[in-house]
Amino acid sequence: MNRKWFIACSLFFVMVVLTACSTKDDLEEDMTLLDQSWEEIVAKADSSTVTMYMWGGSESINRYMDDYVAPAMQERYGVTFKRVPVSDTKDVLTQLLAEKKAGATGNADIIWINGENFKSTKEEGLLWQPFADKIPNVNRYMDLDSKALFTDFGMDTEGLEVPWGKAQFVFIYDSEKVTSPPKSMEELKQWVMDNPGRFTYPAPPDFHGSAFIRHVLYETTGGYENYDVALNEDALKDDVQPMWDYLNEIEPYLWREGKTYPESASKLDTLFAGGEVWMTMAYDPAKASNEVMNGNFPTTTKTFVLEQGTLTNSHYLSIPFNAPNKAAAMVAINFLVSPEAQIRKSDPTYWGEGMVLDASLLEADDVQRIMEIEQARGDITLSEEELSSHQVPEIRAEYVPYLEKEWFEHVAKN
Amino acid sequence: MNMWQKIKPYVYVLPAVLMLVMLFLGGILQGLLQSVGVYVASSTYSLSFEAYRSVLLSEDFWNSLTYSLTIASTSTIVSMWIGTMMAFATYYLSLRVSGGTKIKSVIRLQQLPLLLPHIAVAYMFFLLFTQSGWISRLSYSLGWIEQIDQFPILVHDPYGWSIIFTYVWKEVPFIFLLVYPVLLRLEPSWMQMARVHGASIRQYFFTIFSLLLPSVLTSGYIVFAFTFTAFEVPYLLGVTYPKHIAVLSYQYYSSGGFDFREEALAVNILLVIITAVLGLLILRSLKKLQWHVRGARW
Repeated sequence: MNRKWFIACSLFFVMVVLTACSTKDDLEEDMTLLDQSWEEIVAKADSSTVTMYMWGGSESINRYMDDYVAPAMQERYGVTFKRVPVSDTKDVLTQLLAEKKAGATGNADIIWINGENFKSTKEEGLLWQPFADKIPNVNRYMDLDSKALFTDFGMDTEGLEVPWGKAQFVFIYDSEKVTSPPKSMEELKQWVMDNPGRFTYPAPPDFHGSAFIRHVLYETTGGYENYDVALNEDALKDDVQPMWDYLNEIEPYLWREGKTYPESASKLDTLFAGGEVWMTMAYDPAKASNEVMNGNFPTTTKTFVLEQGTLTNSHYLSIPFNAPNKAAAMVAINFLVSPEAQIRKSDPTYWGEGMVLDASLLEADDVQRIMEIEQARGDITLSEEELSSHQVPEIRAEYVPYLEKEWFEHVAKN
Repeated sequence: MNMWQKIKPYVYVLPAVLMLVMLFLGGILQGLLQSVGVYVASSTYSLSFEAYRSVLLSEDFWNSLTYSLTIASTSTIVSMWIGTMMAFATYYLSLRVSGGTKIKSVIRLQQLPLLLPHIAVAYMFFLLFTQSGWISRLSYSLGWIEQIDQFPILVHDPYGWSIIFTYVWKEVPFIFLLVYPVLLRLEPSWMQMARVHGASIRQYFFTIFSLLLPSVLTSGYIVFAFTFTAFEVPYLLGVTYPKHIAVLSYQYYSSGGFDFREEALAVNILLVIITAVLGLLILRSLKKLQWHVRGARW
């Protein structure tokens, strides 16, 4: 009996060591995958498991993945779809980087990234080969010349990632407490000063807080065009000063007099839901509708965008260099950008987010369904027209960490 | 067979030891190497102490360190004190009340917080004590305060009250768990004797306290090491500046691509050093104590 235990334990450790070492053969097999036909790839994916690592902080997004995507993948391709929630995509990148250094096979087949994360994964060689042109639905339904889709925070996607959705930043407010929402950063400042303690933003590097200060940057220093050049920290120093001035001017009127900031957007949402602050923000125009529907936000919740526009970006699906099941990853990505899955995603009862497909390339039935969804959307989420006429592009990825770091020096420490 | 009998205990602990060596010591070693720019797996050997220099010269690090040390030592001292008091009170109760089941349920009740993970407790304290939280709302509806803003700021406050509350609530049962068994080893007649000779309960407690000291110090050290370095509670309940040291390290690690990896790991290695030095100091004083106690034929 004892001996058995000993042997079992030893075997376990040998197995652990062995699984950590066997990778070389897999890599060569992957290389030929891109030469195969789509049918062969689909056949290869059959009855396997695909694992997607994704930010898990939104109930409606999780519901879309679990209640719609997973069953559909099983039914149509015999692929078991596994969703692994993470609180920050950077954790996945950290893991990939460690795996790269150790030369190990990974667990993630699909990752959900954009901007800064795309930049670091690309630079560190954490992504697989360019595969986007292999995906049938990309070629058939996407506008391949669209800059908004194939430029990610100023970087060419180079086929390393496939657009999955379009998001736009909106402010969320309680119309019972805020009668006329501000239309510019200048008006927002006035509003904040008139209503001390009722506004705040998540502390960068939180994604939403970081986006908020970029709006301030654009509006106080004259537009996004100024920043479509390579980052030069010394030259930038004086240019961005108006932004720090603005943020420091509103600070004493913020929640807790700006002595502390919520550490995450979810915390800001909690404060908004509890009535402690009267505005919150989301990088997802339909989020407020969903939160109201789920009973988290008051029914008087509304959203607004700035006259000069709010940030828009696309987010992407990509395959890590060491994904164990790349064939199934490609099949799943193809399904996720199919008209059916995209239309379902734009339905506010699921996720309610903009599509990446070109409407003019869709069949008539699909266009009809899009119209129906648009009409049923209600007045919390702004209309597609209202949103698309108030957009500004994202800044280049290298500016993001710079601004986040400087925010800490200029604003948080004061 | 005889041979097997001899090595049996070692074999039994082998999996645990292997795990500990691989994950714990391996992790520390890996962190140490990476903090000085050495990545064995990718054969990058550019030895440099730049990360340590920049961390030790940064004002943020020292502010975070002071903040974290204050919170950790306050939480530890308060937990040690309350935990020991509760253990003694329970022991006293067990001498006066007959019937073991009653005492057992008292003990079980005190162990309740051990069941909950720290992160859940932190969130619970947030929901309870924030200005729009349950207690604030309750006081508002009872008319104790006129606006929820009048409720004192206990969460995200510059002194870390909510972090300290959370830790104390979680660690008191832990101290209790380690101190109570020592009390049970005392002869019950000692107390009667002390009482007969006119000692008050307080005097009796201070007399036996030196016997408790080793386990109080050990459990206190564990609590300190944890509260000084743990991440989730200060992340949920802390302030933007100064950041708790663990949150600062996480921020270095996760923000801005992979540029601040070395700094993050340097902070962690410094934490290991501080905690280890403190541990050694406590170990030494414990050895002295034990000698002392042994001298008293304990």
